[in-house]
Amino acid sequence: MNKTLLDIQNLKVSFFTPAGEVRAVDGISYTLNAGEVIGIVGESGSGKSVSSYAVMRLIDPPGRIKEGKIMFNGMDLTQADEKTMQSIRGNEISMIFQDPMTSLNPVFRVGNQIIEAILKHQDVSRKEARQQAIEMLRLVGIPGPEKRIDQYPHEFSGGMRQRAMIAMALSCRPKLLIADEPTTALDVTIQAQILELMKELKQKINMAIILITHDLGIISDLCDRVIVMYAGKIVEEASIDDIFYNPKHPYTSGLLNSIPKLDADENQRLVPIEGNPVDLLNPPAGCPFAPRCKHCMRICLKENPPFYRVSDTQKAACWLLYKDNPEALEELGCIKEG
Amino acid sequence: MENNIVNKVANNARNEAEKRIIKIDTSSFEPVGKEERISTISSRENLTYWKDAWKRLKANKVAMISLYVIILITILSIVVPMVSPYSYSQQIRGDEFQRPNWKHWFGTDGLGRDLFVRVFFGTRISLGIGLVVSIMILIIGSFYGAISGLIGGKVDNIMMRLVEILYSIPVLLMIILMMVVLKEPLQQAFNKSAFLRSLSMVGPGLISIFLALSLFYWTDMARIVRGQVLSLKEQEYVTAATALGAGKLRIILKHLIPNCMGPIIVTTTFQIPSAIFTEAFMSFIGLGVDAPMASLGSLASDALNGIYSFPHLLLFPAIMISVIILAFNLLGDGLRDALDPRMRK
Amino acid sequence: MAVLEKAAGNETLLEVENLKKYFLAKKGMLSSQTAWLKAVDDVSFNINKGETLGLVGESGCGKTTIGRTILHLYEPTSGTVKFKGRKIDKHSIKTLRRHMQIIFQDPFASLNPRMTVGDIIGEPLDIHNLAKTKNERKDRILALLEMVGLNPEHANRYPHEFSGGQRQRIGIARALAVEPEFIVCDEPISALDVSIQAQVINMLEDLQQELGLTYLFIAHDLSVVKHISDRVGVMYLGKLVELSPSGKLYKNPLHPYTKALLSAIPVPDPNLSRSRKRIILEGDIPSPINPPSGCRFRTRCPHAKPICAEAEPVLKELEKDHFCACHLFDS
Ligand SMILES: Nc1ncnc2c1ncn2[C@@H]1O[C@H](COP(=O)(O)OP(=O)(O)O)[C@@H](O)[C@H]1O
Ligand SMILES: Nc1ncnc2c1ncn2[C@@H]1O[C@H](COP(=O)(O)OP(=O)(O)O)[C@@H](O)[C@H]1O
Ligand code: SF4
Ligand SMILES: [Mg+2]
Ligand SMILES: [Mg+2]
Repeated sequence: MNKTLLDIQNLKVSFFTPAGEVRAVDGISYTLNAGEVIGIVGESGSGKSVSSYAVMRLIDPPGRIKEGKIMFNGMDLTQADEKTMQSIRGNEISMIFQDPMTSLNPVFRVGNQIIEAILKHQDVSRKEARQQAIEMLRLVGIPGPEKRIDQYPHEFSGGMRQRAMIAMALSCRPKLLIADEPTTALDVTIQAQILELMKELKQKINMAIILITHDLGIISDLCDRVIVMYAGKIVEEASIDDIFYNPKHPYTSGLLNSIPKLDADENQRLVPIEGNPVDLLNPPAGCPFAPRCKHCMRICLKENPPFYRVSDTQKAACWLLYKDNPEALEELGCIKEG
Repeated sequence: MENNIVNKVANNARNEAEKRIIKIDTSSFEPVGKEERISTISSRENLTYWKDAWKRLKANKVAMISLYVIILITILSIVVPMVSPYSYSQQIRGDEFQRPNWKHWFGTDGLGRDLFVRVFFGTRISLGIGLVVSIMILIIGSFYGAISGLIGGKVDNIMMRLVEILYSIPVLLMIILMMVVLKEPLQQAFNKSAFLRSLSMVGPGLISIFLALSLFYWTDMARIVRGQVLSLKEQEYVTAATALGAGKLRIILKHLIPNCMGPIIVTTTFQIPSAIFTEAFMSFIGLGVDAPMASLGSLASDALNGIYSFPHLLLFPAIMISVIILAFNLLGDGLRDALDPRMRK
Repeated sequence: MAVLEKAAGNETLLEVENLKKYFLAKKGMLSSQTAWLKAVDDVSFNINKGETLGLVGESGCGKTTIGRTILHLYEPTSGTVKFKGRKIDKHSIKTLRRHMQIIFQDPFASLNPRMTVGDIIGEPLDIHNLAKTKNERKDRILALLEMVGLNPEHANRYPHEFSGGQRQRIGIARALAVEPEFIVCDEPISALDVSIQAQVINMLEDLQQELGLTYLFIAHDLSVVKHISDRVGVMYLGKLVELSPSGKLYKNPLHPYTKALLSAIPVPDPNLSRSRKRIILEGDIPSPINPPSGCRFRTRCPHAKPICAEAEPVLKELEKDHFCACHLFDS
């Protein structure tokens, strides 16, 4: 059951812009088991999308995967050629995007786009593919799929389009689905529908999901495990209970404190994270969060903190954890001298 | 807690490659105040729109070469007639119909006028026409377009119908007609008024070219600016200005025009060669500047008389026209790339 | 509307009565036929001095249109808006612009990219001649920058050099420059990162305290609206369906739409998300060009009755200060 599906090792992706190198993803590592749902949170520009586009090898110049391995089912995707990638994309790994209007081609019927996707990866007749497409549309809760299949994207509402996108992504039963802010462009009530659908599908189809979002509420709704990213780095990784009830990194707890809660007393003041997001062209020398961190210490300004294993299900990169327990570093392979 | 650690792992447990020593001592864990924390963020230089555009333009070789060519030709067209031993209208007896030689680099025409001076003098006139006309077009077109776009509704409808009507008239025909009609009254006006007489140096032909071109060529500019304004006026900063109580004029001058400067400049750059070309064509068919004044078009036209025996008379002005028009078009392309907001991050 | 009597002891600053705003819109994407799009259809409410009235609803329900029509950025189709008892129209708005301001959603579109921050904040001063000398203008600009937590040296920079949160502060400083009493905050934090949202909310709250401001706070995020508002209005398809003090609304929502909206918010609390039973609304929001007859929510309402298709429910005070427009409460 707990088979590792995706194993990302020290992945670095940079964009070489005229203004300098943007280290969009700066040495991240994580693993994902088959059937597991992992959430990636972080503010905009923290590298959530880029890190998962890298898995699909969809980084266009001036961007480049600089370093690291992306082991998918035992194969290193960073070394795979374009032809292999094409057979993987949409087949073994699928992606859904924030804006369904830009990812569905407006001049083709919705059904044809799904049928094409099926035909590309499966050895079936067009008729069978059409039947499968109708089934997929039914699965994602589009009423009257026999009729809907011949309509164009603009005849679908926003929520319906996102459903169609999901149907297309799932049409080849991928092992991994990457959902990049799938509900951000939708209204709350429609978002609730899509989230409910994803929960259902998660049960019906045993596939791993990487869910990218900036909304901690969505994470808590859907995910088993969470990765918190800041300025291209992973700062904390934990099970959802740990993240929400026992956050270890100051950025994670800062995020949790800065959202107003529905059940809170009125007039309770929010506790914001001060300062501004990192300029990736000009990142701080030490811990990327240091300029905004209330607990910042001298070492934080100089050295990027290593990961500290809090428990089997939680690790965080923060010098505070070292301060509390200096022995911990050895566990991570650091050697003390003198 | 006084020790050094070798951190094999930069930020993750698996990377064996990075091995560095992190010094840790008692001061390492002293808290750092807010001021100091914030001071560690160095702000990088941020470029304004114009500096950024200039940087991009500079990176575009073709456009930069075109720009240098234009500058060079402009300077030459000013300097050459000034320093040359001959004037553009000076007829040198005995030197008629000379081929290029050391005395007359481009040769001479049938009246013994030095072609080198005449070509650069013609260039001066042609460039001048291009410049004046495109400035007129810029003013008329951008205001017309901005007003039409900003007011919108019926006014916009009427104003744009007018543009379409102007657009559908065969421009060359109209210009020819206007020049024919205008020439006489202009001549008379020069004779009457002392102020206008000072303009007569320029000649009624030239002035009617200015007028005719400006009156018919601004429609493109107006359309482009209107299109820009239509999308810009939906921008929230324009709504914000309205909410603050700003009037229409202020919104046009402070918000709309500065934000369509990019397309305006690009359009102007393309207008210059098209004005020069039209003028050359006018002069070529004999409707342009009055002799002995020369423009590149009239030089080419004059050269037709002896085209078989003295092709160089046509060659030099023709090359000049081509180079100027090509350079402006290439520069315009470069400017469009440099100023296009869609390319900005 | 008689039912919307102002709360006792509170001074009413703004009265919105039967406000309608229709736009002429194309019927379909490819059709050239036009029809009236009822963006705001007969909405009435009051805002008291010093309070924050929140306005929530899904996108396209008319929140922005209400805010802009109040400020007369859109000419109302019918109905009136009164500021301190004075009717807002083409003429009165000229003097009222100084008293009513707006903050926008998009921190990138709301600042002119070709103006320095100083000039952006200085523009209202120039328009209304609020600074007599150059020095006075500069001092005012610096004071405003400080008020919103920016540095004096920021005055000479251009908007693109700032992050979203900082730009939003610039927009707020510009609105404050005319010393307004009332500010329409049109989703001022929706485009910001979570960690920055709290900064802006706190700042808006502090400014309200300090300057005695009154806010109309528009958002689609109910938790944010609940946090900042004294009273909250819930909109659906151009109609106000519920209006109540914010505590009451969240403890005891009456309208089925409000209930669904509340239960649709994902909560950042895994235990709660696991145990919570959600109301999932079926279908999509109908088009405001051709809204359903009767109650506009009936096509998605889990409790719809035959009467809902026939008669439009009116906003009634069901509990003290708690208004709701729904046939379920017909007696
Ligand atoms: N095409 C690109 N060119 C230059 N920089 C880019 C490009 N795409 C992304 N980036 C940079 O990469 C960083 C991470 O982007 P992204 O992964 O999209 O963030 P997120 O999804 O977390 O909001 C951003 O700071 C952005 O500036
Ligand atoms: N200027 C306009 N012209 C035509 N239709 C408009 C205009 N502004 C808004 N609308 C329409 O009015 C409705 C309400 O819009 P809006 O007030 O912006 O909603 P909200 O702010 O609640 O998202 C939408 O259907 C929108 O398409
Ligand atoms: S390492 Fe230092 S600056 Fe970074 S989060 Fe931990 S305490 Fe804060
Ligand atoms: Mg993203
Ligand atoms: Mg809005």
